[in-house]
Amino acid sequence: MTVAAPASWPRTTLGELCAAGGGDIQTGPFGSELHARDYVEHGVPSVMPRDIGDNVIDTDGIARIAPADARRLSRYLLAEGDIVYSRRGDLERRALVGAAQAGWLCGTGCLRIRPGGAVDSAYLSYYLGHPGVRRWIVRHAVGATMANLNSRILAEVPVVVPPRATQEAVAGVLAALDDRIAVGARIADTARRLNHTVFAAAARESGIDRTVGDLAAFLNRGQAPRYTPDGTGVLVLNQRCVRGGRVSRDPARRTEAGRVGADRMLRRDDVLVNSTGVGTLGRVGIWSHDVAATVDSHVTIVRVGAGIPAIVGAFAVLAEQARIASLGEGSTGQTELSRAKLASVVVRIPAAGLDALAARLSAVEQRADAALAEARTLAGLRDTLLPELLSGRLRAGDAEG
Amino acid sequence: MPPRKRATPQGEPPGRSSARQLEDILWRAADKLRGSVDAARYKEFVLGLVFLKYVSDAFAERREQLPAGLREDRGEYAGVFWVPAAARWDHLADRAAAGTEGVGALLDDAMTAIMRENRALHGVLPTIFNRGDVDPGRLRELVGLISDARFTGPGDRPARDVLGEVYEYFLERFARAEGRRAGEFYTPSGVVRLLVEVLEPYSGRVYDPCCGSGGMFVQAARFVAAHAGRGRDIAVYGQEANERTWRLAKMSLAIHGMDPSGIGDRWADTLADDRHPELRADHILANPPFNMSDWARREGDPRWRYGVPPLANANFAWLQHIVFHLGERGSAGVVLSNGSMSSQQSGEGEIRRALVEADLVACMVALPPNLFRTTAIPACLWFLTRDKSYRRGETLFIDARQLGTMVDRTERVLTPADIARIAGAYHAWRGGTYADVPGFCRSAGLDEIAGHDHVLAPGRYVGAAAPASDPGAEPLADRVDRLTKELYAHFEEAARLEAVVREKLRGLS
Repeated sequence: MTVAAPASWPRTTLGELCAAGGGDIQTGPFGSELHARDYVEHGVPSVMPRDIGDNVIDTDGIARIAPADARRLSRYLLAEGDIVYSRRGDLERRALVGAAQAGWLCGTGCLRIRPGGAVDSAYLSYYLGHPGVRRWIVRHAVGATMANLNSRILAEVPVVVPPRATQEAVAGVLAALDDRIAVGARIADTARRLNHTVFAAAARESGIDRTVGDLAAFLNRGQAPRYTPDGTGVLVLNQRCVRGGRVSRDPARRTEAGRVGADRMLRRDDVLVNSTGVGTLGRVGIWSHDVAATVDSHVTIVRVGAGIPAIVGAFAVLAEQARIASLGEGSTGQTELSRAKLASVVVRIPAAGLDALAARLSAVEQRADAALAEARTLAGLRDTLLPELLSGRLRAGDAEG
Repeated sequence: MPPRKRATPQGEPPGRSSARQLEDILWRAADKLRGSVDAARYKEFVLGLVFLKYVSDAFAERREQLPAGLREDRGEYAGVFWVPAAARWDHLADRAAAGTEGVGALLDDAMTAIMRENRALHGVLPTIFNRGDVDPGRLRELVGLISDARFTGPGDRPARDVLGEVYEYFLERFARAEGRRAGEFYTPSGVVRLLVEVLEPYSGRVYDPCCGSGGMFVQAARFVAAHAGRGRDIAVYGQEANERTWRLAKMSLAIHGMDPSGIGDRWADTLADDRHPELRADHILANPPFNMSDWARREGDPRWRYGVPPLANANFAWLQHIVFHLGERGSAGVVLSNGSMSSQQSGEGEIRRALVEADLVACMVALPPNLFRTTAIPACLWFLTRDKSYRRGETLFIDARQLGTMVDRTERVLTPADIARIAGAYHAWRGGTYADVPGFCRSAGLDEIAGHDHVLAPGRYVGAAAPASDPGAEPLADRVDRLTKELYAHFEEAARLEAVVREKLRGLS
């Protein structure tokens, strides 16, 4: 059984459920209807699989189409309460469409589930996130090289439909957690923008130009790791971990602790700089976790010394991110950021009040890190509760009132 | 310009589209070979075969015009390559189809025979067809396809023109397929066209010191042809460090009816071993490797007249190499990474100042992002000239960062209108009715440039087009206040939502 649930809860298929509510399952437009050249810089967002996060749509770098094309393709537009589902690549991605995304396009790699009135949309979206349902979909996907999903397969997905009040109560618990998770991300984002501005204001008032080489007590790439098979040992961060000015632990693997030199063990407020490749080169992040970690050979560690508080040096380097990203060398595209290039970058360090500035930056950073840590814990809690609630093993307070 | 498949499929004249279909057929056929050979070599296979077909067709065309008695007289074949009987395409195709002997050996022998008979092609053609790693069946199929294809255009378009297009089309397809490594031999056609439209190389010596597959020359020749000149009005000189790319360039020049000997008889690193030390060119076009470090530097090199470039970055070595080779009235267009406009490190700022003070910098163009499919590094164009009698002591700054059209999510192209706008501003500035356009172009004098510490980023000079979109417009203190309030609002929202979560979790049973 896909989802274990009380026998009293009716079972149906997704296709029948949508049809009963006057909705449907619609495949996004095919490439022949929407060509690569039709995408524009300003226009109606087109949701593609890569834009779908965990039940949210990420608009960073989303593709857009002209309003005239959106009118032409009106049968593929999204409405509030729809669920957009990826039909190729990472099949398990889905997101509930909110009022803010109404009128956007269900893109070429996606399916649109329109539940109509027969079920609570938020409940159904969480139901589709149940690990058992995800496994079912992966098993039934077709395609030789790339897993592929079509509306027929999706219509066959077995769905458990508890009473409406239960649906709403279950969705209510999970949505409360999701909302709190989202505000954590916003806190972290605003905190970082505030710190950038505080630093820029201090550096503008009075600043001294220093090269990264002068500033750094340690400036080196990591080493090629030997990953441990059992997931023990020291975290090894890679280029995917460095994003948005921060360092995430999630995409990292582990290496044997004995193989890492003391210098290459990260310390709080070390600056990590992605140093190879296209698209990722030059991304800078500040390390702020209190766990044993190092970096692989594609990432450079800049450890601020020279009597400058580490966090002040870190923000000084971060302020030059665009410049660092332009220093990749090699033929167009064969890019590599050398230690010497990075060392030669000039950054501006405020001339006075460094300790007070460091204290101010640190306080805000630590609050942001706490918000992100909370969000991670809440996400773990949500993922634990979701199957319990959907199976009826755990009941939300006001269910079946 | 290599025909772009997605450009305007409807608007093409009839006949062109058949060339396009032909290219697609060939590409798919060539794709079949891919599994069996290394990617870089695979390019040589296909381009080598197209080239062989070209020399053979050109030879056959001449041969048909000759009276029977003169057909084996080598003196009658000036301007085309002499193709010995055993290397002629019809002969090869028949033997390959018969299948009685190894097709690889047949092709290698043909390449060798052509090189033996034509000095200009010595060491240029690939003899790699008879190695163990290529599937003879697939190779035979490819030869068959190239044989059957009618390489003739509409009307009197000679077969050879179509082959030239096919060759260029494949170069671009390979550049796309190879992705990030392809920058070595390919510059996006829109950027090349922009350089050509600005420099207008109607006649004279055209030089590219890091010529890749020779795209600058092909584009320059096309420009001359389009302006009622003939390809022969320009003489091309180039140098390329990579052996395989050097071969591609030699073949490309030959297939476009230019003299391949200008590329030299050997590949070599331009900075270490300048193969044209005496050359003074009228037009120099170049896309050197960005920010190359650990290059072969000699302190006493006569080329470093404006300062010895740092070992950590060859950008100013390339610029000075190019200045060194400029003729008295010569002009140059160079693609470099944005860092070259503003770097102050290791004496680069001093070299840039010296170049400005010598009044060599005619125009700087900041390019939009994503023009180079293979890298996100932002790039700019330097236009240098020895003769600024038309505007002494001034430099034109063009901020083209807002131009271009995204053709998909990662790649932007400059449209003909964009190219015309940039080139038009430059030509107006040189000798027409020029006016500054806020946010786009501005002519600045040496004093003003000195006031900017000789930083040449056009954004500093042209002014802001849309001050509203400038995040710097908000005073920093106001911005700190606003963000602080925003952060506190998030805290309050978090507290409220925390209460909601607590209440919901309390209800679980």
